Amino acid sequence: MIARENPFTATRMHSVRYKFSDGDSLRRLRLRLEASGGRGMIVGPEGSGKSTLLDELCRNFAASGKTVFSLRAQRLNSIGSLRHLLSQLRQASSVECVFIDSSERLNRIIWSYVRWRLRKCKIIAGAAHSPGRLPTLYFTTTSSSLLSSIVKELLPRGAEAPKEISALFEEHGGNVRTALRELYDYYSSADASLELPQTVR
Amino acid sequence: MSFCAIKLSHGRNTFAPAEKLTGSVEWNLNKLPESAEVRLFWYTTGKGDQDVSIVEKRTLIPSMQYQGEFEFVVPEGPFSFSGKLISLVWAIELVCAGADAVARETIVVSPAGKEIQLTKVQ
Repeated sequence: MIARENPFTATRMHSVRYKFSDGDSLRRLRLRLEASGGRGMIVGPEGSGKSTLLDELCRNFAASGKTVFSLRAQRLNSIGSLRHLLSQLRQASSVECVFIDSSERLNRIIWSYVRWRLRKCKIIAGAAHSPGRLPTLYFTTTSSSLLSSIVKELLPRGAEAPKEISALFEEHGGNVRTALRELYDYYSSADASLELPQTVR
Repeated sequence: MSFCAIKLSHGRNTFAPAEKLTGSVEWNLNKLPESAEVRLFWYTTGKGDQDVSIVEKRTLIPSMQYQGEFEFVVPEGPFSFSGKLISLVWAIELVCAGADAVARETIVVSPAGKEIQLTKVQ
């Protein structure tokens, strides 16, 4: 199957909205962020939807008329990466709300500098693998049923969902993103068929 | 009920580089859009992150009702192509910002008259 027909392209995956499993909502998340002094972190393991949720939170603030800046932290392993971060912080310091994805890539000293540099921003929200850098707003988790519902959403209407989705979930250790990428690979090697076999491996 | 549409002349959707591309747009909206544009652009889709480039655009008068024509000259490239990992897709898009109205028509840009298929190098 060619890329543009693959139901699991990155573009289609990014179009899937974060699914709250515990009755929480984006509105409540925003209220919690504002109540915690405008500082908060979305925490969870890889492939659990942290970036998706942070992006939705960012768009929510933007839609309500706030000025926003979104940045994805990179490891600082060269002068170029340091310059890039400083340039981004210069732009970010002039907006109301800043959203920092992959904040665990910045060491504690750099993170302290980032917080100081953005001290005048009303909102600083981030995503990280472990808690501690800012008050935890929300823990993202995954489940086999979550993966199943995303797969159903991405497959064309009428196409059958894979039957061994729970095995796929286990094989990827709960990482929904890598599980979906495996489904991309499955379809890219399949002959334009949208029926997955009993086992997706 | 709001509606907006793009129609390509003669129902054509495959164009050679440097060829003229014409069509018409029409909309009937419930609210006045902040702006209205027809864009000629390409994007990639596949396993990796998306790349997008707006090549040309035509600004239209933002009104609640509109009917008019547009014309572009198809650029020299990149050509439309597809492989297993990535596709490059050309499209014409009508965007009425602030009125949630978008219409899109996918086209093929290729000197061969069809999308180029990338095959595995043996």
